[in-house]
Amino acid sequence: MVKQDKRDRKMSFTKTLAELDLEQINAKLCSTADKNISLLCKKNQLSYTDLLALLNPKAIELLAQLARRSEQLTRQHFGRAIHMYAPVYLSNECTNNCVYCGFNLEQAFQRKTLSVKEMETEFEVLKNQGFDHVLLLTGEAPLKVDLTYLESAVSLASKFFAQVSLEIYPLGTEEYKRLVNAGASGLTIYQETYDRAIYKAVHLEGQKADYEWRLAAPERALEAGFRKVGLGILLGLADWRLDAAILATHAQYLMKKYWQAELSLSFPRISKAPENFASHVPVSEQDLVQMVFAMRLFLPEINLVLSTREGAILRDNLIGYGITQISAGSKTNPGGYQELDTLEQFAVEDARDLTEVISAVNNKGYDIVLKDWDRTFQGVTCR
Amino acid sequence: MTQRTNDHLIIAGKTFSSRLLMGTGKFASKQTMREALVASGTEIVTAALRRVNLDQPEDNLFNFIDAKRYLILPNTSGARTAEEAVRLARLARAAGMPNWIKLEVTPDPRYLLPDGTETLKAAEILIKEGFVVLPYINADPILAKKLADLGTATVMPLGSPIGSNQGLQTIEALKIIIEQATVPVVIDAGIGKPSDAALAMELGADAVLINTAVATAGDPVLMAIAFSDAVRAGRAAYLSGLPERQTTADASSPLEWLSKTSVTVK
Repeated sequence: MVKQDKRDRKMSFTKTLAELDLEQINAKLCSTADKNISLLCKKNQLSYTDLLALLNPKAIELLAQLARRSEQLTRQHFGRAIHMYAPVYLSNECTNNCVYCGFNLEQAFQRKTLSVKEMETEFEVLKNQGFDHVLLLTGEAPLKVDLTYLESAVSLASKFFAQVSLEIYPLGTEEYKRLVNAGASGLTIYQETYDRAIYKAVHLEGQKADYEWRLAAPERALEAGFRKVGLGILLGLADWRLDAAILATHAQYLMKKYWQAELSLSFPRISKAPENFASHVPVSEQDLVQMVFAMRLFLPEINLVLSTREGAILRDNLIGYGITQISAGSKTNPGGYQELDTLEQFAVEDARDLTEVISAVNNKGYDIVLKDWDRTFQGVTCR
Repeated sequence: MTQRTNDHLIIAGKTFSSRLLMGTGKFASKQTMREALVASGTEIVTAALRRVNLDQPEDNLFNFIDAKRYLILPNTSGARTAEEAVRLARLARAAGMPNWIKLEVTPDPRYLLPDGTETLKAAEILIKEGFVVLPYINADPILAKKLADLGTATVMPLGSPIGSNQGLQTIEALKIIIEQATVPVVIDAGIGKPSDAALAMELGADAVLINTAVATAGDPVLMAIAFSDAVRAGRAAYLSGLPERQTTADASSPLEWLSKTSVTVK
């Protein structure tokens, strides 16, 4: 089981979050006063108040201007390059009850955790397709998918790929260290929503109901030596404007405290809510696009990720306009690449394979980067 | 433009006619990159080792850069410590790449500013191991001297942060580095416009390295030509002996009064 020692609990963004004046932030997000968006598109460094103006509904009126500025900043900082990764679902076992999730414990289906042999087959398929950066995902079932399992998955993946990242249940610093030593370089952990009341209402059972433990996970990961950390909010749970505003402060907090960390932000959107998820707050494509531009203007050097949860039209049109990392040909069920018949977490909206996506990106005047680092440079070798 | 034929850039005993070094990142395609390199007239091309599959170097970026035409300068971008940079350089050499290395240690992923302490440490190790080291540094004159003393082939101070296109924000420190230099000074990073490159060359820099400004231009090939012309213009101006800029008008001699005195100065 995961050890929650006192030190792990102490270091946290919790304090900064508690000090935020959410009412005032909300007031600015909803204010109907005119915003000088044109001016914000010329400024070099935006203030937090500027970000709130960009997230305000009024900014929609000048969305095209935001798009142009977003394109300009992305090109300046990242050039004409888009990074590519593939998700690999290792297990759909889960002891959490998250009302919005296809893997939640109340879903009656045959659960699956990949064996070493099956993992190897998944990795082989992806490597042959051309991927060199993978994101290994699990649900939260520490008894079935324990640290030893995760370590061996990372070690095995490291034999195939230059970069291995993880999207797993929150762990303590010492556990994270073991995964870093096994060869993992990135960790993705979304708070889903920063709204405590909604967080509690949608995470009914399991370890995930512990808001604080999850909130401080990025810090534990960075203490443990992960080079890259991905933060995110799940769009459709709460007010996206407020969540995005807090996500930005979370990123800023981490950038100051862990100045060597490479951060990325994701905004997965629940497009089709499961039947038992009544509190779904739909987020439109226009909302999503506004948020991407706002984040790019406020945090010009940060990576923004867009997965295959979004459709081809939106994905292709956002290439160059803020997004710097994408996935392709994704399967969201364990063993999906070797076509095992298991349940997927969500249906992908963009089913194109890697070759098709690369050609679409090239047609937009951008190059795909499949390899950007090698864990051997850090002195981690395959075991 | 005519150019003095005997004006060459010499780095570690190798002679180059072009004083424009080019980077290979951020281009829309390998094809555009290749065309821009040709248009620039460059002879030294740097590329990130982290993007190369070291097991099959022929399979990657280096395959798109004609090794007969250019000196390929692998760089250690992405390294956050001396140890990582040294490891990258060794892996590159083991994979059969040249022993020239552009040393970059940038622990901060936001501004990619170079870490002087770690760069110095890595340079010392790599020089002992026989590498030709071209270190990317902040515009720090003392660090530049220390590196040259260690035996680096050049120093490569920044004009402003990588990719920022802000030009020579560090100009006063660059002047000191150039004045004190015993190895070629290559202004790396931050040069956003051909006029910035021309200014760097007018100051007496030996060369400039350009990447973002060309790679992200609307027409990278045309921009490469513009930079090539600017570098040559700046160099020619430097060689011709630029007149000192005056801060005040200076109509008369400060000793004019002497001729008006009745006393004859003996």
